[in-house]
Amino acid sequence: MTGKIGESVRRADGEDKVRGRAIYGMDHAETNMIHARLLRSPVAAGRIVVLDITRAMSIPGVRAIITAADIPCRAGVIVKDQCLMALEYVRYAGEPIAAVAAGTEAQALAAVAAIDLEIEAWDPVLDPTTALAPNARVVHPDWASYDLGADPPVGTRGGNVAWESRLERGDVSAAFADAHLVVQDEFTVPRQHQSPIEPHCAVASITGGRYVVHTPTQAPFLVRDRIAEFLGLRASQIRVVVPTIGGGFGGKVEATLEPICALLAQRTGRPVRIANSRREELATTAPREGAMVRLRSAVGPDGDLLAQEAECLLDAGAYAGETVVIASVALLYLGATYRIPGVRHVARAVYTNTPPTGGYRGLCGPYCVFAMEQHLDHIARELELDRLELRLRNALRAGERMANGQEIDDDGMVDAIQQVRRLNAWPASGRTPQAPGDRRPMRGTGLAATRCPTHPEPTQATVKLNEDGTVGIISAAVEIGTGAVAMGARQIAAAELGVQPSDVMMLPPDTDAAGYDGGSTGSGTTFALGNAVRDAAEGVREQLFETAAEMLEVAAEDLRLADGHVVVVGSPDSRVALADVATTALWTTGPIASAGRYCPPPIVFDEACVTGTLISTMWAVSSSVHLAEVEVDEGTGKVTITRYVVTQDVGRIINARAIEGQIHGGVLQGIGYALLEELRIDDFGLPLDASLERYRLPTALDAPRIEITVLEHPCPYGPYGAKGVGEPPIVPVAAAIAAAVADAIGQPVRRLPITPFSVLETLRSARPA
Amino acid sequence: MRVAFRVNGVPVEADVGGMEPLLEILRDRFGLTGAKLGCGEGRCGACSVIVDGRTIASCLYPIVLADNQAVRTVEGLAAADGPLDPIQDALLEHGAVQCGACIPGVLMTLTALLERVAQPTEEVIRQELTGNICRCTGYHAIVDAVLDLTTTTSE
Amino acid sequence: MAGGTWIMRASLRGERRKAVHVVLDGIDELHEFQADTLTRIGAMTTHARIAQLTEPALAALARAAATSAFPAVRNVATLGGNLRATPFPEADLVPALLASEARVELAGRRGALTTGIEEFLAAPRPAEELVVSAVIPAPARRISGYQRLTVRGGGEYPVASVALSADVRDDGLVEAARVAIGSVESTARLCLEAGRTLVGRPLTADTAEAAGRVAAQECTPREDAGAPGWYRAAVLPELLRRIGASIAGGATQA
Repeated sequence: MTGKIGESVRRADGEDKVRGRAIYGMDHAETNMIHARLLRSPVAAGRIVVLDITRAMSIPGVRAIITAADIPCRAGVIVKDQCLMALEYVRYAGEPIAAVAAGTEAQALAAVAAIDLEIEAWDPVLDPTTALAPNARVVHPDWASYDLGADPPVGTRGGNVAWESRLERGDVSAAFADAHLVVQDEFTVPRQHQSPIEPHCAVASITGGRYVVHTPTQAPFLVRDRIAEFLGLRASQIRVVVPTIGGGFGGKVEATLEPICALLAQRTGRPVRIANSRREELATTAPREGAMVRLRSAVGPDGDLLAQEAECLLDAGAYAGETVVIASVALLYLGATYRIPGVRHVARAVYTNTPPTGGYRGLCGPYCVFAMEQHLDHIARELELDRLELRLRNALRAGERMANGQEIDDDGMVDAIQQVRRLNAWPASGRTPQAPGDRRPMRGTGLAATRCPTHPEPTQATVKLNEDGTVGIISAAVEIGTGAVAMGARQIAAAELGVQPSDVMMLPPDTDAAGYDGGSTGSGTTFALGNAVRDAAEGVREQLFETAAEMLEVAAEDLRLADGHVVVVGSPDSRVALADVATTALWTTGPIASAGRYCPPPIVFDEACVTGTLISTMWAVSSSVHLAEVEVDEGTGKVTITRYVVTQDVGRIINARAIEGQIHGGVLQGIGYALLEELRIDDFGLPLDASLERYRLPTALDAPRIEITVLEHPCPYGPYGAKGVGEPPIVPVAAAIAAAVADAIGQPVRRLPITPFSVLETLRSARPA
Repeated sequence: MRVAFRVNGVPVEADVGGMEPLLEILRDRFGLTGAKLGCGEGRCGACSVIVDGRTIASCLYPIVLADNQAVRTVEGLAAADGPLDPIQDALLEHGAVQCGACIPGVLMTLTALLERVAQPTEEVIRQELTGNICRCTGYHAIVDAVLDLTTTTSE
Repeated sequence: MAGGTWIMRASLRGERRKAVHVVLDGIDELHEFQADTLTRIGAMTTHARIAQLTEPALAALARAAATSAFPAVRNVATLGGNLRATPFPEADLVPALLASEARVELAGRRGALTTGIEEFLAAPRPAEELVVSAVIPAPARRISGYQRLTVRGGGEYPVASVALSADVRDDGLVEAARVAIGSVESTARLCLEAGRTLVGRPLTADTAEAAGRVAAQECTPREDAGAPGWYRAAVLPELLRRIGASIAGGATQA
């Protein structure tokens, strides 16, 4: 019953989007709505000495002003270290200190400007290395008193270490003692900002004594729970509804503005709208963390990795947030692709006086893979081995185990690496032929291989049969643009029930209407929702067949679904339309609907080898190999990508065009990470790149064409075998481009982004005097 | 002051200070929320509309300059109850719409382009789209939609 | 206020917007556009319109206008705005006007005044002064070119830009040349020595690149978060090389 699986079906929300009719979070408005703006800390660290709202309260139009004194509860993803607004101390530039609700935005801004604020400023702790130095000031002196939520795993934390996760196996010291070669590298990467076109925003109101929040979030239940946590409420006192989202990429998961908005709605009795300016967006919402990765490997004479030590320092910023979880994911990425018998990997999320960091497509994957792949190229150089052959030699095969002890399910990795050869994309000698002539750009080729996880969240979906024979899906899974909901879920429901995808309706996400959904993150939406829909569809089928069997006077086992009908197997003319079954059922068994659910199955791994990991395994693992060819201009240091090749295992193609869209978009975000984007903070802890003039987002002129091969190595527990597709396209990009640039200029790349400035500097210092 | 101009062919009037961005007047006074406030710097292109046949960034366009002008927004590309304009249809057909926040601006840039150049090359299309940032699609599907549309219609 | 693209971003620069703005669009003189051996371009002329100039002498100016920013800005931003916006090191038209020996016609409290671009840029202008037009000579033997370097493929302020304008004799040797750089210092400027090195030589990729090396020595690049100063100067030889190669290759626009 595969029907529409594999077809490039049009998206359900497409027409409204092209007509300009779609109501995004930033467009949502309510009757009598008022406007909120935030007073944000002008300094990165210090003690609030004066915070006086008296003058501001008398600004015309002001309806309420709140500060941390109004809601001193702490919340957080794991470590409950964060107040809604700065309570007594500020820990990052841009931290909210007060929130004003007023009749107009202009009035709110005027009131913000009239709040008397004095801060005794301290020297900020600006980066993890400084934060870990012996005499560093502790960003959270009361760290030991913070709650860790229910059932916290055992982990190391203390001082400026927000969280430490470790993975150790094998005899690392012996391996290093006996090694043919020891190679060591250190890599540094900056923050990257998700930069969706729609900034963070929300509208909160009170209806029937409950909070109703309209917010373009990827995770409505997380927002609900975070509001409840901050405001000290039961979760069910809050309803979250999700309008159309103008992009998320992992940045619209944590509830940054919604709790403030909700409290202002409660104080004023009016709907309150809050929206970040682009400056606030770049300066304060959680980007991909800056990080440092140190790798040290013991290597055999043929290039076998015998053991590896790794230290990852993740800049969590002022509050632990999601970054403590991301530290665990670093261990997963570092251990998923290659065979390393002896492993000592440590990842630490470190507090600094900078804006808190968080999840962005691929999490720490892009820099873990950048580090690992540059490191392997270093090994290849030392041993004069072909870089592709080195990958093939060390890549884990089906049946082998990752560093965490979980088993590799398929040989997608070998398939993907060999695809590079099948495409004749790898230079036979391992060296890229240079352009002829005296004045020519330097050319290089690089490749990167990695496994990527799918991370599905628990979800619930109800499928109902409408009386006209169409199908409705009620789910709080969010369509963030990928098409997982607007296309994927509809295709799966259509395939399961024998209808057209255009006859499958989706309700907008609403925490009142649908059961729990953990959020559209981790490349897991099609996966989790698809499985939940299949679960529900099974129930719908049963109910359909129960009624149809009576109508057609056959046994239920002799029935199947096709073309909007229940059909007798073997007798295509013996059939009854779904609409007829639905209406008949009303007065016999009742309306036809079934609730389905999904939660990811436990993955077997070696529990003894990990400490303090908040995520310990990967689900529905896919393999990706990217290859880049570049030209480097000797006069300007500019890197031009002349060829880009992607091979990605998707398990099973649900919608080919949607997959292509994820690859196009993810690769370009990866190119941004590799060459253009760098969210910098100055020596005072203030943002340097808080405008689109400064923060260079890729344009249509920065996007090379991509050659795509999609492989299908099905996941036994994915819907139709599908694996997550959204994040893998970004993960190996910086690694592949760095490898190509290093090949072109004959120097390793140890920092991102690879700007023309850094390249030209490298070329000049390498030139003989 | 009072400004009077046309929006999607319909005459409109507004009492304004004069320096409000055209974007604000379109969205807040006329309910045309297709154009978006993405950055307020004129850089992301989500606010792109057509004034007097040319693409402009409406977040940087003072309303006083719109006086007596013909303004066109995404809502005017197709009748509310009518079929999609070919360029809208082409974007959907090619999977060029993901989150869609950039799309109204992209559509107006492309509309203005295609009214000047019947069969733009890929290079010209990309140059023209430089002022429209898309974070989702990587641009290729948008470019291919235009190439496909303009090559088909010539046959 | 001309196109408004600078004024409307005042808050992003931390400036308060002025209380009163006067729209200049209704002043006919500011819209003059006359392409001739002495080309007059009114202050209200947009980048998009200037990009349509075809005379080789004006190629630098046309290209500066054509490659600046992106279409939505080019359709609105004006010559007058590009000259008057301050501080604006990255202005594209200014180095092209400098290299082209343009003069600005101004109107102020004391009546009309014409001055060279260099003098115009040298000191803050009176607030009530209006740029009326730029007048650019376009003699027969003049060729020109413009290159701007961006980190991305386009759509951003240049990290460095160069305009070259040269008068070439019948024997192919340069009689006079002017090299102007933009975005390198806090204002665009002429690099007089760089221009002088071209005199008496043919205009080729190599001679242009050599002039670029002189220009890199002549200038004192600014430091800011957009790019390191040394880089802005370091790329000048390559940018000039490209102009030279393009002109030598027979292109009308470099």
